[in-house]
Amino acid sequence: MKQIAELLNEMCRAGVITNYALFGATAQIRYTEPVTTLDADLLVSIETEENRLDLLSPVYHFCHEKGYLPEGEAIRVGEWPVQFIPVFSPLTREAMEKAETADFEGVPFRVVQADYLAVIALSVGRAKDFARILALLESGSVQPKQINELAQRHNLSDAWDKFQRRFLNE
Amino acid sequence: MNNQSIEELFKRQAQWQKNRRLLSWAEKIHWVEKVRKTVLELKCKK
Repeated sequence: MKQIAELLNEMCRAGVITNYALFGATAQIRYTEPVTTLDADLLVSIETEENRLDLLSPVYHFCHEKGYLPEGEAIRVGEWPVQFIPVFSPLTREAMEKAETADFEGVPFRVVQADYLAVIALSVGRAKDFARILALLESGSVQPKQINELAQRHNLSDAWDKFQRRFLNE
Repeated sequence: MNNQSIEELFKRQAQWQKNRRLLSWAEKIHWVEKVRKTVLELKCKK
């Protein structure tokens, strides 16, 4: 994971990407008990002409130069297959921009905050995403009120109401 | 096991889980890396 942090910081300095933040399960682990996962997900923003189909090609090129090679849809960095995901909505862009800079064994590493992780999970809506929201709530790293506010701002109030009825009604 | 001993067991488990949360993020990531490695090794053996 340290190698990923170093690679991303280097990519930023080189101007390949303009910003990044770790999200998904590896980011969740910062706030909750460990959960198993097979890959690391990264939100990235890349300044390029809009709608380019090969949006990630500068990222792949940079990784290749550093000796990190593709593995399926990911790039293998040390022990981890890394999925680079360009920010794909106002929610993910905001999540990336408001990410916290954490410390991973001495290396700064931008990580999406717990409330944004919960609302991104809400927007995706698979069983494992609901489990993520519950784990974040149980850990106390996010409060229902924060999710409610963020969900409202990103037109996810219905999804949040449904989630509450299904999982939080006591 | 009676209800009281089960309650005690849950209390101990909750405390244990709380302590696990006190691990640093890097420690938890290394824990996951080890689990991943074991799973992949088992998969390769099949």
